[in-house]
Amino acid sequence: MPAVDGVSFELEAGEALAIVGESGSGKSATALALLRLLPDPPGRITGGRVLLRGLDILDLYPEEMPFVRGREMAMVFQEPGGALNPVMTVGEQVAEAARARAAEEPRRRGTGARAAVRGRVISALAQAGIPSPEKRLGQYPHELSGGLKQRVMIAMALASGPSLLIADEPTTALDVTVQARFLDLLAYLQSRLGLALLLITHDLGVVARTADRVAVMYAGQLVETAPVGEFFRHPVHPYSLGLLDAARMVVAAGGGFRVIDGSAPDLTDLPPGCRFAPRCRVQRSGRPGRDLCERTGPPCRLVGENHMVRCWLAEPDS
Amino acid sequence: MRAPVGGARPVVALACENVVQTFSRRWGLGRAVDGVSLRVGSGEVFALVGESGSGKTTLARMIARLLRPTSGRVLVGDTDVWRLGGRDLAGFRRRVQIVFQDPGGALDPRQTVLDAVEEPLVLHGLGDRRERRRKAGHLLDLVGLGLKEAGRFPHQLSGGQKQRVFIARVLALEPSLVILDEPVSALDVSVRAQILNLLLDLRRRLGLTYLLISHDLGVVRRVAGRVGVMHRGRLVEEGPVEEVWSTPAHPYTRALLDAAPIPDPRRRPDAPSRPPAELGERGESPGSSSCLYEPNCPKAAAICRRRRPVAPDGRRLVACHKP
Repeated sequence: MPAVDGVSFELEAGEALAIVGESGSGKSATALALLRLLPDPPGRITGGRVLLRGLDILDLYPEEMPFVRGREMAMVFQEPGGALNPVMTVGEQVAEAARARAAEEPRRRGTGARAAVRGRVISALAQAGIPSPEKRLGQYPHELSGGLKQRVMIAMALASGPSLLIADEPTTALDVTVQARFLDLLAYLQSRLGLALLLITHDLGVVARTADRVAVMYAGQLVETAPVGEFFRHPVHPYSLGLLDAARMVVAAGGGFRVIDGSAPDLTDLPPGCRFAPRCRVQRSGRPGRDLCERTGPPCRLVGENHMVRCWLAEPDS
Repeated sequence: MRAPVGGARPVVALACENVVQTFSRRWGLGRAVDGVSLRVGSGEVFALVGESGSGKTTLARMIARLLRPTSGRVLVGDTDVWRLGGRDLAGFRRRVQIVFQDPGGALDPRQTVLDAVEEPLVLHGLGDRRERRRKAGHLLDLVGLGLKEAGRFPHQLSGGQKQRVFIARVLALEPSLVILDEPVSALDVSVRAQILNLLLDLRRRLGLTYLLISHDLGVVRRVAGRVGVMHRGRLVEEGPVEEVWSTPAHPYTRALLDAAPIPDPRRRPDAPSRPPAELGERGESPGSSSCLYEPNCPKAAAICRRRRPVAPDGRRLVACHKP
């Protein structure tokens, strides 16, 4: 059963791409596949390529992955509490990541090496927006607020000097005021440090605030990708329209908020044609040619510059 | 769509009078809820907003008689919730119901949908078996579920369907006040609107009063008539949603509204040139007599450190020296 089905996208240095989708859409599985962290079994990557600066990660031996994962690309999870070691100090945890990088630098001995690691740890904590980082080195995770824990996670990611940061619902567990500052931090890392950012979220408010490009996933497939401004101005896929209506809480003509009827399909029992067809308002409105949607899955089509849509109703760009 | 603004309605469905809940800390007592007073009119949707630890859920638990207040009174209708006993208490349990955030955790995995909806009637000894079955069927219909779902178990339902089942279960006892504790937070965006529509429709049809607890300011704005903003156990601002949103008076309310992510990239702030620190990272805690928001407040003045502000009574309530 394909949980992620033929997903393609590119991410440039210093760019922020948001993958948007609801539960079960395959957005997290996509991120885990990039890191080759999908548990196998049941997960398996049966085809495709993951190119990181020209290197196909799927060609690497499993033993080689540690040189890429947590180094070239680092991940930040939703629940910072669960990802930190409760019996290690903040300094030790960030140092673990820093040591890996420091080991590649010209050899230094004794205090010199230790000082280099310490310097790296402190600068990573500072880059993660933690004020007076020296004071935090000896603290344990339980002494920190949720927002600070999330920042320690970021510092661990930064300590290894990655080029790509993957953040899976990084702010869902945070309060709004803390979330806003955290999104500012991501924007800082991306625009000032030149990190590529892959943000996985269900929240279009977070997308609007953070992303340069949007990729919408539905039932394991990408259904629309567009630059962020274009996406919010001219969404094309009926599912994207529905998501935006829901996020903006648009009131329907007959009263009540406009909804997307039904729920996402079971991945083991997908509709034969377009996966969104059973819930598609446009499709059900009696448009001619609608049996095409029910029979055959639509291909991806370009509808504008860098704007791709998987829908029969989309007018191709001429 | 929007609930009528309270105050115009004379009937008070819920009143809290100087409610306090203390908890013990390593050093002395802390206050999870610190002297909250509010009134909710019958048929109104009153929202409580605030961040984690602000005391909104603790307050709701005291209203639902799940947690005894350290001091103060909670009145539902004209009865003191914490002075009830015997038959009156059973009546209260029917009149006040809670809908939780996670419907999956609130349903028994071994119970069919129909049994789950019937169970409250059984527990309260209402009706005979046939009447109960008929009523449960009617309730499922009311929340938009059909015969097809009636025989299913929770694991066979989507998140939205589970929440519908739970709402039907809550309505079985014909409550007048329903506490909605983050009722759509665990649901997918596309399903949220369905459940909110259902809740608003039910309020209209059944004349329910809602106390809505939510951290989603977008939902609060569109659903509630009045809103109370909680910060560190205190109600720092209260008033009609439209007014509070258009002219927030308390600096904390302003901070909350500014922080809420808006689905419009044109309103995105510029990327900061230095790593932004978290709010409240000045590392100070408020003094024993100062305003609790003072360490974070951009407008803090000398008086804010001397005296904790109290809100004067009125249509708009603001607990701040420098609104």
